[in-house]
Amino acid sequence: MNTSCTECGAELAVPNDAIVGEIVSCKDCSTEYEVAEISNGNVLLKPAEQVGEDWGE
Amino acid sequence: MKRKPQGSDGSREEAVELLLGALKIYSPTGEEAGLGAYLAENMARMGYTNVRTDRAGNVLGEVGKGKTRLLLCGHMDTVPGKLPVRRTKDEVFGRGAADAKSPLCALLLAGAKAADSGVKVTFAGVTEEEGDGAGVESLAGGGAKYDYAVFGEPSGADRIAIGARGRMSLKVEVMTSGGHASSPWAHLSAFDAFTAVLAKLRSYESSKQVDGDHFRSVSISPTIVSAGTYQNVIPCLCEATLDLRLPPSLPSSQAVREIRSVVEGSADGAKVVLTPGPPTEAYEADPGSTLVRAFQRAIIVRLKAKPVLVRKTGTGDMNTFAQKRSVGCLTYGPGPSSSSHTDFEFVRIRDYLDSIEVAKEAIGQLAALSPG
Repeated sequence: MNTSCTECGAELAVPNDAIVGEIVSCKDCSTEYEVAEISNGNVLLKPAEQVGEDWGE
Repeated sequence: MKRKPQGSDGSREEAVELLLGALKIYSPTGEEAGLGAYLAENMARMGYTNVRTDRAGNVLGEVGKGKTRLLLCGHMDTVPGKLPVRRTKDEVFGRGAADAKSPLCALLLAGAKAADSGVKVTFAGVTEEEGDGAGVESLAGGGAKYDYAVFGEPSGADRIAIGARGRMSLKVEVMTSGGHASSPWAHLSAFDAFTAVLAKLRSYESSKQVDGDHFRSVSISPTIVSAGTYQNVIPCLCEATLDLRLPPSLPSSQAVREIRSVVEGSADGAKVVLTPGPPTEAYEADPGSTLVRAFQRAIIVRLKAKPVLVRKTGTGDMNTFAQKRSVGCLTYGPGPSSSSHTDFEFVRIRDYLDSIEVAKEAIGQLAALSPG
């Protein structure tokens, strides 16, 4: 399933077996998206929640 | 309605007992043998085969069969400082409850529970993660082949740590002629010269910042500084150890080159010698890689939750292993990392039990997603 990155416009390939909730990222600019909906072979993405870093080591 | 942790009551209780037993064995770095024996005994009982201890004191064993080869690796050592082990209704407290005996036990149990998933799992309890990393160095240098590797560290059952910054220590020696403290205008202090060097380093650090993103930024922390020999003698030597943390975009060799060029000539009249320690490079997995996808899907399926991808600003065994082996890696495990190395170290029982189920599910997902 192909769509495009809203940040940089690059083509963004989402695996055909992706499920709702999976996080995918743009290969060009690394922007992360959450798979919001899949219907009839089309995928709808929304920006993934930005998460703070983990200090652990 | 609150969701209950998954698994039967019996298996939940068994999992908690396994963790409590591990916590009761004090295992600071260098003293992992007792915990190793405990794990080996439990591994044999759970169905792991070829349970053994290697030269570094790591405990290893295999379970399951399949073309896909997965390493599950947790560290057995903790920072020093005994803490009482106690269990409340919802939490377990003790040294290593978060870092990292609950991730260690969770991966051990998940491997055993996923024995029929079609993945060959090797579990490794390794030594000296809180020290010089001898355990993982031995594991990475061994001949066994793996396609994927998961390292047990605390983040939370719904979180996957897909990156960690690199690390390198840098020794800085600043030498001047020194002199009598009654005439400081005539003598350059090595300590003052060091502060000039540090100012240059701070400027370099500022040039390597990514706004609001510590993972992709450089940090430089002076951790040991010493200078001076007597109250009225201007120091002729200042020695400092700097802890450098490096993002994936900056290999250690490049950082050393750049720092050398920045520091050269920064302290007129002083000799400055930089000695880098052995580097550990940064690591970041692709969110779309097979291993990360397997864990994402496991969190969605088992917890009905959104997976959260996190990057660690610290450095761990994952970095060392990924540096030596070209395999997909990630770090996963229960426990609030904020309680690591503190006197109130704890893990929530639900988080621990959830992470076992997620890791087990992820192994099955890995078999389905792996090519071939």
